[in-house]
Amino acid sequence: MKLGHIVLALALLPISWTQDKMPIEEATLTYAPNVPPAVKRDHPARVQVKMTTIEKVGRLADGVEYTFWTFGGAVPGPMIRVREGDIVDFMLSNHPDSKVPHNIDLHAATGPGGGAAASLTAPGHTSKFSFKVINPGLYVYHCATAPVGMHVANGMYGLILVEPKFGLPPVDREFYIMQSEFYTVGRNGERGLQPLSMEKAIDERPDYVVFNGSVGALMGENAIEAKTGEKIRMFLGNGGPNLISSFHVIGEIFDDVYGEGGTMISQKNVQTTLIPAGGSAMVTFRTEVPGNYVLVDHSITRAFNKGAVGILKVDGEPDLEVYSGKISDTVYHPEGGTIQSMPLGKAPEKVALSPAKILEHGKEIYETSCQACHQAGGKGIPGVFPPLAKSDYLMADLNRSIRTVTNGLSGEIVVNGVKYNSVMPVLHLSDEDVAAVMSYVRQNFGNDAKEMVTVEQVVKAKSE
Amino acid sequence: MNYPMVFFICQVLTVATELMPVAEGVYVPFAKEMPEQKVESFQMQKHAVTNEDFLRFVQSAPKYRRSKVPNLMADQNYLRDWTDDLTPPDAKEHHPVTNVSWYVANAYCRHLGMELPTTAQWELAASAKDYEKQILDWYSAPGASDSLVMSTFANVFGIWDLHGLIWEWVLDFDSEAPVQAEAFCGASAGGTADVSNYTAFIRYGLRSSLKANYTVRNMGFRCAQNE
Ligand code: HEC
Ligand SMILES: [Cu+2]
Repeated sequence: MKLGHIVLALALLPISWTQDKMPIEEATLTYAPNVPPAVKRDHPARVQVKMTTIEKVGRLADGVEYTFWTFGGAVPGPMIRVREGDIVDFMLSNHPDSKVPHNIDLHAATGPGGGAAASLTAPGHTSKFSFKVINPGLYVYHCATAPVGMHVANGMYGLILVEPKFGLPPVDREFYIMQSEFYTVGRNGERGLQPLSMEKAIDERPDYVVFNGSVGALMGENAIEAKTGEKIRMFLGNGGPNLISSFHVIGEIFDDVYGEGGTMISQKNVQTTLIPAGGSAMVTFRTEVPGNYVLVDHSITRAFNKGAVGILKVDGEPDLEVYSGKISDTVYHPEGGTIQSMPLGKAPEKVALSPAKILEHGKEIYETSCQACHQAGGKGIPGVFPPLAKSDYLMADLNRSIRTVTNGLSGEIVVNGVKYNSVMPVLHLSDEDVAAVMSYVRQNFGNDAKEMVTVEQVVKAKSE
Repeated sequence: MNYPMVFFICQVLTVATELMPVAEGVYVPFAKEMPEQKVESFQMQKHAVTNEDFLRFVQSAPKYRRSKVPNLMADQNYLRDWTDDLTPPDAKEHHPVTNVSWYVANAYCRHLGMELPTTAQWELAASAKDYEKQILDWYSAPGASDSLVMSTFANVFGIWDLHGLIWEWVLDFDSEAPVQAEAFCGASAGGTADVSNYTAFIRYGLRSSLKANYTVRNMGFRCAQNE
């Protein structure tokens, strides 16, 4: 063996980093959909992670509030990114105002309870413990204080990525998306502060299934964005507490799936991947064509009726060969949260409010019940969902527009010179809600109505 | 009963809150493998110890003032809301005193010739199952408790606020600890008697997260007297 070879062999000998020699650094934690930067190190370190558990009221859906129990004040909790072989020094603080103790079970830790027993923390206290991340992969963490179902149902989960020694293949963009479900005493859409329904949780009957902690967390202004020709990686988690997610991006195919959050590509060219409760998956794909791509749990009424939708907005030049842009119909109508079916009529809710309040309410109804189809700003999707923005059809005949919402609409219509031949389902809204949403759309999106639509007008239009 | 004894009890009553009798009964521990316990009749304070009560205590027992108590007996948050050693928070003399450690709560009760109630006594008096709704409502209102004593409801024994105001110390708060470590820190509820009794789970979970010198913003205490 030549000398050069010996030197090379020596250089390749694994350097053993003893604990006290290890460099110390503080972890960068990010809130969903953001992902911490890739680990640049080629050696292990002691990584300090500090988190606080906070119990607080927040928005679950428009007009619906919930008392979340959180890591770091958010659902899901912050994402942690470390490297295989690192030692994690974890500091878990429980806010003094907390009513109950909390702890953390990190699936990335090996040892009894994944840290749970070591981290049980009374309100106003801090627990410290450390663990070595031996196995690379994408792991869920969650609170494991009894009753665990209650702590998880209230929002206590997040993701920790343990990068393999040689890192992950480079991509252009990464996103952190976590599905979970909420069990409220009131039915989906019932307004006000909704308490947890233990009964529904035990029966596994959620009212909300959401991405990143609330209905609409990845919609409208919060949609995630990318450009054409980019490689995207999604770190997907499922906090549960109970459901398994059939994760799908409408209009995309996953090039690579790291099944169940492991380190191997388990399958290529996948349409829908399962994410177990308390588990994860990693997917990568390349964006080809601009447009809005809808993220759903393909257990599809969860998406239509319970909130499990999000948008990936891709900007760039169209590629007509990959996608012509001509759509005849859609298989999936991403309707809003309102229950759709044929029968008409429902006891009207009483809303006696100022025009400004009614318009505000109309906006909420638009966002929850119409926007999924007619899009933000009423822009519509050419050929599929007609625009409400500057819509001649909408403005020409008030009674007809009201009936579109109260009775549904099918058959050919022409809106702003473009033909549509599709179906709008009946939306079960009260007369007050219809009046509010019609007032809102007719006074916004470039439409120039000056008058409010009254409940009487709605009642009259329906009966014609 | 001889005179000095009667005198002693009378003095206790004038200083402290009224005691309410609790009839004897059986306590079924939350941990499955622990035997049922017979609880003799006893008396328990009608409401939790208030800031005003506690002020009287630290006036007569200076070593329990905030500036005097060592960390070993009460952590840094001891009486955190008090302005100084002898000044409880403004206009809160009838609020329960909170951020008090077990050591000091225990000393308080002994000072008055009483004891902290045992887990068995407290749970028996609180017969929690009937009150699940109030308890769950209380959890879902985040933040520190901020109400007077005797502001929630009295139970069959005429004892107030056992649920829905604050957590309360018990004498043997760590008695079910070994079982709790298993029941509360894993995803499965191994050794517990009733997995659907969520409110009991939480109370026991809280107890097992504590040490005797811990003080918690939403936690106070009351005393009991054995007969
Ligand atoms: C499931 C998707 C969907 C939802 C949800 C939906 N629409 Fe529609 N809407 C359609 C379709 C499709 C048409 C065109 C029907 C046709 O071609 O006959 C339409 C047509 C209309 C029209 C007439 C055409 C125009 O552009 O002016 C109005 C007005 C309208 N919708 C209002 C609403 C309002 C208000 C809501 C919410 C309360 C709503 N829609 C919810 C799919 C939807
Ligand atoms: Cu918790």
